[in-house]
Amino acid sequence: MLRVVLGDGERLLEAEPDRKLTGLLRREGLPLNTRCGERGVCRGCEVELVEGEFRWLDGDPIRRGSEPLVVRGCQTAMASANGTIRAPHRSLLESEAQIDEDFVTHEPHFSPAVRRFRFHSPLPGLDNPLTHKARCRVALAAQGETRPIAWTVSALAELGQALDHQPAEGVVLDCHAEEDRLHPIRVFPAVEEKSRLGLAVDAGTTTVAALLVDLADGRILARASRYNQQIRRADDIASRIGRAATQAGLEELRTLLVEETIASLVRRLLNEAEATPEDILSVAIAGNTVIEHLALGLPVESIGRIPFTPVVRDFPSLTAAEAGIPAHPRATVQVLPCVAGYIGGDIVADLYASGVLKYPGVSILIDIGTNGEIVLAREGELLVCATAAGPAFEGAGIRHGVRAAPGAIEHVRLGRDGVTSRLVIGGGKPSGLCGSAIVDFVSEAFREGFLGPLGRLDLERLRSAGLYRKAGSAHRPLHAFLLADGEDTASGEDILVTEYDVAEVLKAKAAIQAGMRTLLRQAGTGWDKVDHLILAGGFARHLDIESAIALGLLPDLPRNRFRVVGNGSLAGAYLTLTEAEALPSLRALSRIPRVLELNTVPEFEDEFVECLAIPHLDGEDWLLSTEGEPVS
Amino acid sequence: MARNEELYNAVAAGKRRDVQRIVQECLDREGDALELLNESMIPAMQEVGEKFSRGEAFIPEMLVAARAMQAGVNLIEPILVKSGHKATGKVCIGAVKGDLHDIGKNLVAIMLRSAGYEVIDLGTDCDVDKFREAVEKQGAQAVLASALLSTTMSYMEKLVEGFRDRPDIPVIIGGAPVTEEFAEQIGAAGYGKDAGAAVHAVRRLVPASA
Ligand code: B12
Repeated sequence: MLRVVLGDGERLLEAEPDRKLTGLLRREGLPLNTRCGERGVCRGCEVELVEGEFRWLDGDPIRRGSEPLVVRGCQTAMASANGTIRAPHRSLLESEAQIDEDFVTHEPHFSPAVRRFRFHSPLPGLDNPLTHKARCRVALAAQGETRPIAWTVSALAELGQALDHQPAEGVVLDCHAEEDRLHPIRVFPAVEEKSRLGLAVDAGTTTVAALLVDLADGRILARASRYNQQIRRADDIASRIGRAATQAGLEELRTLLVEETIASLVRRLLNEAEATPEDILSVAIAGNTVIEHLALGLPVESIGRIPFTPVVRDFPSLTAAEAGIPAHPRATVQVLPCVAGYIGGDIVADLYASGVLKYPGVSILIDIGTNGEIVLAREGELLVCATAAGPAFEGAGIRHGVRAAPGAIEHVRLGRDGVTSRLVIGGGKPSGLCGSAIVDFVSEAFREGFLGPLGRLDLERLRSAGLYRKAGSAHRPLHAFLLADGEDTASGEDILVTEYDVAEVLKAKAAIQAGMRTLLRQAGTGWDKVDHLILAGGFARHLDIESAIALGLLPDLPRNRFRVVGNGSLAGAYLTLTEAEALPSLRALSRIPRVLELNTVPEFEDEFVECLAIPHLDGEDWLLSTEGEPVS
Repeated sequence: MARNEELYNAVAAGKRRDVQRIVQECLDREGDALELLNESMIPAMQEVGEKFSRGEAFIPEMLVAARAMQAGVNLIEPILVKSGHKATGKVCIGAVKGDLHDIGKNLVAIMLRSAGYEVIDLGTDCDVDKFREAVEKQGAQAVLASALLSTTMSYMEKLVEGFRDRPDIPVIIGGAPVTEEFAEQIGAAGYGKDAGAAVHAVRRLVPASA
């Protein structure tokens, strides 16, 4: 047996020796964070060996003294029948994501591409020997529908059955309407009331969100989200590209996304809406270019190499059976068109859903996430770039960073003596702080003088206020600010913000601010000319705009110029289902942007350095940071 | 010779404009700018590097100081060339094939220059041939390679392979995803987790020229 001590209790697992700890824990429903793909290079799956015998994978026994030893779970196996390990919270892969399905769109014009025809076809006589197919065409023509019908054999079989046993009420034909033709999905007797549903998916690098939509009226019937299960293998885009280099790796990532993530969400949605897979007639998926390719099993190697070109930008549609999605086998699956290797269908969706092209003047749209895409729109022109900000705003890579889920500190305010208030999602004791609280902390600590402009803590102030803590490891000690005392936290451990965390935030915000400045400069314009600043992506909904401005992440524009649109990617997928004109518009939109590769712009580096300070270095009349002091 | 405290502090605090002003004033007076470099600027940069290595300064401070340093060096460079200043040694540095990140690499280059080395900057996206050329044609005594992507890291293995026939040329690697274990695994001669450590690795592996 293996005893696993967790932050909030312990679990006893069946365990046989010689199995990797990561494999054991995954099987028992406690997956560790194996983001490097169990290659032993990251520290995601670290656990503490407390009791029992263990060995390295290559067979060597692990010698440890009386002290617990920290090892990587993917490189360690049990060597005795019983043992005890401690799995810290940061090493566990949570499987429930925060619900990020909210969005605002332009005024939708409900006209779904899935069309329903009801007709009763008179039996043909000898004088009029029409085929079933011809009878259907005649019936539709009588309703004014004259587009050619692209039948498949399997749909014809249903038509034959339905017309041969036609009840008095007639039959129903559900089809996917394109501009120049109709694609029949199913035919059934009109006595059977069947609903027609659509599935909208936002496939993010970290989180996948999905909606079940009633295509009769556009209503959202159910919402769900889940971590993209690909993170079990690799957590950032670059490592996923590496992982997909082999055919087996590519197929594995496709399966993790389609079967383990999307299909599992669909089951939840159907359950909630009490519907069956056969009722899903249309599917729209938006994501970044790499994830969109992986969803279709297309190779992504070329996106990882200069000049970062994808296999395709405008994805042909396919059927749900081909895509492996639990829906009607002939349902159409449409992946939203992308722009370039690092500008995906999610950004095209953001642009479409926010209607930014119709705005007068200059607008900037940013998706404050790991890839940090930025679009500058002016008079129908679009200039885009990706700044690779990294995951700090999602709480990753930060000592006590967590995702914006229940238990996370969402907002924090400081005064002269320290924390004056904090808001925990769902109430209760906090487990860590999410991106929005990190932004609050850095800007508030700077205003109150706890933090210098280059991210150095004023240790004297902290000590006299009783807020100083020492963190880090023995060989790399760190100064830290005490945000919540262990007595007040979920795990009983102090929640700290270290100088290293602050440096991570400064790098991420510098990348975004420098990206925006570089775009403005390339477009020959400046902040004073920007009329609208549109914030897309889940993080922006939690962000306090005042804190973000004080930090220097966002510019100090009049507040009525800011607009938060939420999950624009999901909005774009939703509109693809509910507006027939969405897809052609998205296609047209995806061809407009001019892509700016930031590494080809020498000013970017200069701006990046300029923006590393709080709020930024402009004019260089900022103050000296507090003098560093050795940690003893 | 005494150091110029104002200049020292300006470099350490990353005050680019102050650095430029002080250096320019000295040049205008036809003062000894080389001395400013050696006695004030380089020690300041080294101090920042040391602090960084001890975990008392972070990337923002380091980059800001390096940029101020570079601004001053740009003014002094023409004089340096004229004076026939002798370097401690000569190394080449580049970001490996497929990698376009160069902010960290540039920082390492500045620190090495501050430590008295001549640095051939090969830029980004460098293949083995490019590094070999710097060694064979320009006489670099060590190869420094930077990678910021987990996907380009694997190219470092090819690089080490490409210098297998030159045991006299140490290959030193670094960059955010690179670890000491990885360096050992691929047989690189040296590794540095930051710019200060890069200087130590070069000092250890490149024999100082007389
Ligand atoms: C700025 C940046 C960019 C800029 C680069 C501009 C430029 N001129 O360099 C731009 C926008 C162009 C860019 C592009 C991309 N980026 Co980028 N980028 C960053 C960012 C924000 C900062 C990197 C940085 O400069 N750090 C500061 C420097 C000083 O630190 P450093 O490089 O680590 O160097 C230190 C040490 O490592 C060491 N060192 C460095 N080199 C060497 C060499 C030797 C010999 C030694 C001894 C030591 C040493 O010393 C330095 C000082 O201490 C990071 C995220 C982050 N928050 O850190 C992402 C990041 C590195 N990028 C990333 C990605 C994925 C990309 C892109 C593929 C995609 C994209 N657009 O999103 C492209 C790829 C381009 C390419 N093929 O290279 C990922 C990498 C993930 C991974 N695991 O591989 C990161 C981590 C962001 C993320 N999580 O998504 N990026």
